[in-house]
Amino acid sequence: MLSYTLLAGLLFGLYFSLVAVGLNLVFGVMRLINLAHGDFLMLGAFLAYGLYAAAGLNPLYAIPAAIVAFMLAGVALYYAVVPRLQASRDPQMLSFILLFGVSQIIEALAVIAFGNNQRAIPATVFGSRPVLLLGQSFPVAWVVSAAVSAVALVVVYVYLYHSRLGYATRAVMASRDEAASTGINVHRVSAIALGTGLALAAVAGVFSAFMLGSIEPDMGIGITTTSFAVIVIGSLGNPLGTVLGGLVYGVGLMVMETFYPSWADLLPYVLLILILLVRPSGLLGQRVRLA
Amino acid sequence: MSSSADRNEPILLRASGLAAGYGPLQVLWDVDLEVASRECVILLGPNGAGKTTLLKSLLGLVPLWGGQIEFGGSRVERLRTDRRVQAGIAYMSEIGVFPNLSVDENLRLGGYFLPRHETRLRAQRLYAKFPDLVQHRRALAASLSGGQRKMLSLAKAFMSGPRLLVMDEPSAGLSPRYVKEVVATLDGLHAEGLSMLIAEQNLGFLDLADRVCVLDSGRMRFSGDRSTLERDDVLRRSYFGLEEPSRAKPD
Repeated sequence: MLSYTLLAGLLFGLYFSLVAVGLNLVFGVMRLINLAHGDFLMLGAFLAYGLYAAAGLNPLYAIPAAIVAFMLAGVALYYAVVPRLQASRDPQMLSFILLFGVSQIIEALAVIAFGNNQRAIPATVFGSRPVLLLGQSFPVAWVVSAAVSAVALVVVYVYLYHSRLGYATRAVMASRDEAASTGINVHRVSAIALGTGLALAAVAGVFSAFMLGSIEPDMGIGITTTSFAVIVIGSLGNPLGTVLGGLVYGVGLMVMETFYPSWADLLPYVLLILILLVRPSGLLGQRVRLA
Repeated sequence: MSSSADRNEPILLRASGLAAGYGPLQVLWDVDLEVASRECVILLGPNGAGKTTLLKSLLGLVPLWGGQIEFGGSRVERLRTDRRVQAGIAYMSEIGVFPNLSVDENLRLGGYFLPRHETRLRAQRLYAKFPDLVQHRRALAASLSGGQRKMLSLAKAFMSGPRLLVMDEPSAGLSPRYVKEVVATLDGLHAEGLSMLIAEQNLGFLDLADRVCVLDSGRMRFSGDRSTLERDDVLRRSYFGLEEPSRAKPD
């Protein structure tokens, strides 16, 4: 029982890392909390559902479409909003209010477009035979979701640590002014980071039907809260810290759902408050936050 | 110390009537400043005089409220910071490096807007010029000593191939030994013909100066050569506590 719980927790942990990594990337680069993060994930979920419902397409085919569409949306959102925000006297507070507004608009438009009904994609779309991992049997949809999450996290790592654009992104994370005075176009780097953040959220959304339950327009705010808990647990502002945060959260969630199911919904809030009180720099702390 | 400036050298940077500030607070008031090609200008002034704000406004890091900036004959005050760097102005802030990146990554970022092969070539040349950095190339910049970090900061600024090096308190956080090392390095670069604008409080940097400017309370109080500054009783006593030249202690 315990080994099943822990393995399931690791699978979900990888998935929650993907759910939250985009939020952390955006926070690291722009120092703003994207309160609409969960709503972009919801749109990714509806994209996968739409392709499945209209053409019977496997959700994996929604991934490239989600990456292209949400990358472009992120770049457009950046140039439409962020430079104006940053020129204001209190960009943090203004961005908080503005992105909350964006979240509400996306949710309202999603209700108009898709209705209030809950939607689902059958988990058998990936096959009906369970997958054996270390002697334990898991739904194939969980394993596929975790595998895609792991690949996406590796891509984020390669982007940040083994590409010129990644060096520039980490430079902007360290100091926008220092980056600009090194000759880096901080707006271009930030726009790409926001696009990447939204694309990662949308890719996570593709698997939300299997990992988070049903797809519905008002799922965004809860996902944003969960994502925030995950990145605070790991290390706020350090995308790689998100992986630790996601794994801790995933295992914690599975333990709660197995042994104390009625308390499981409280987990993100309890963890968030505990970490902020006990270790506000996250489990990995300031040293790794810089990395 | 070398002095490569010539009175007939063309003006490389000309800022006139600069006004700038933060929020409702005005910090710079009608500031004029010129730096000629191959000239080293030391910008002196007490804490809070507006030296950093002036340098940042030249780079576009602080928005101008008024005034003009010409660099190499072209107006640049409307250009983004990265465009000004690409035009040939390199800026070395007090921190000067990205502590979360390795030495090599810092250096390569200095030439971020250059083609890859050019970045590689320049990095090789700079490793030859600053050999102390070679053995630390994979180390985080945060792990370097203050002096090594300053050298990395200089090398990073040089990656862009600047015509003007703007530096904010290069002596900050350095022991006297490292200050001498930095001054010697800058002297060598100046001798090669690099124009420099250095904001400092450490009077050791006056040895580099072709010209000295004094900023106080956001206004330019003096611009001239070092000997004129040293003969001015008010400036000498008010801002620097310098002794009269005849009674100055030898090094």
